[in-house]
Amino acid sequence: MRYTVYCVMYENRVLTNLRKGLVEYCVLAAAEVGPTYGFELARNLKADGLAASESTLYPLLARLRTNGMLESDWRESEAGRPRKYYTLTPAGRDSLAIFRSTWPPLRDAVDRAIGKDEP
Amino acid sequence: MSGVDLPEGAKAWLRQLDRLLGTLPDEERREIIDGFRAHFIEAIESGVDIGTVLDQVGGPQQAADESLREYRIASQGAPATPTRYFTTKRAFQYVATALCLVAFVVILLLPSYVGVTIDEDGNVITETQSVAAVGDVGFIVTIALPALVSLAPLFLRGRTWNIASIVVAVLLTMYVAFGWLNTGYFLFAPAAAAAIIASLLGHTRRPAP
Repeated sequence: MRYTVYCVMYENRVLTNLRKGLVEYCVLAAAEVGPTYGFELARNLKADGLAASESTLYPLLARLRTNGMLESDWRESEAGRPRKYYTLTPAGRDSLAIFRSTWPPLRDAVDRAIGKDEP
Repeated sequence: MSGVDLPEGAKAWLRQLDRLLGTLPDEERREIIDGFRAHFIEAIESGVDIGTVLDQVGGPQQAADESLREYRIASQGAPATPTRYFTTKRAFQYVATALCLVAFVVILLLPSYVGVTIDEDGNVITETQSVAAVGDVGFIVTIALPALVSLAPLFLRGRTWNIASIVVAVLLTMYVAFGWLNTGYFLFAPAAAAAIIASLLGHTRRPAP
């Protein structure tokens, strides 16, 4: 019983880390479409099943801004108060382009490795 | 940021996160706290109960762990995401170095030395010579400096690259500004302009909250 619990916890951690790595690019892709803000991103990522918890999103946004992938500015929202909007920088665009070219062969290789294509 | 008064539960959550992030620089800590505060406000305004919001976000300790983890990645200098060596920023830095070299060669070959000779008959003979022909080593080193300085960012990546590009832009600008009246120093102005553009590209603007 203890062994089973340990396996489940380990599995969750691996999947969480995997999801975190991918969410980064989903955030960049969302910012590529147009300026976006935290709550909107959180809602969309959750709806797409990509974010396990909002606790990961705001630290991630801070890091992407610090690393020059996103830039932020305060704008008046339709709600009538300032809202912090994030937009993609040229460095973020480059990073996203690299991921877009890397992801399909990687995804296909993983699919083959885990036997998804097998009958 | 907002006139919305958060429920005590949310305020306590933010206070605790603020304490747990005590080791982070003020700017990073404030950005993360502001992000969560805005999230709480938006969620409450969209009609979600604060208890549900806090359950979805998780505990302050979880948010602090995530924040410190992300900060460690950011502090490693290079972004956690793969980046190309050759970007628009890098291209402008190559242009700046190339323009420095062009200015160096032009000044080197410029006939900027005037020699005055009086011959036996009392005739004044003037002749001009280039810096290269005269071989004024001190001056040659001085005009070679911008090209050498502009090389530094080409070998760096990550945060040190950004810092180096700013330093180079400032140094080249000062070089042109202070040497404006000297022979040919204005020829470094295009290089300074390219270095300034490079230093501005790919940087995060940090607006006041």
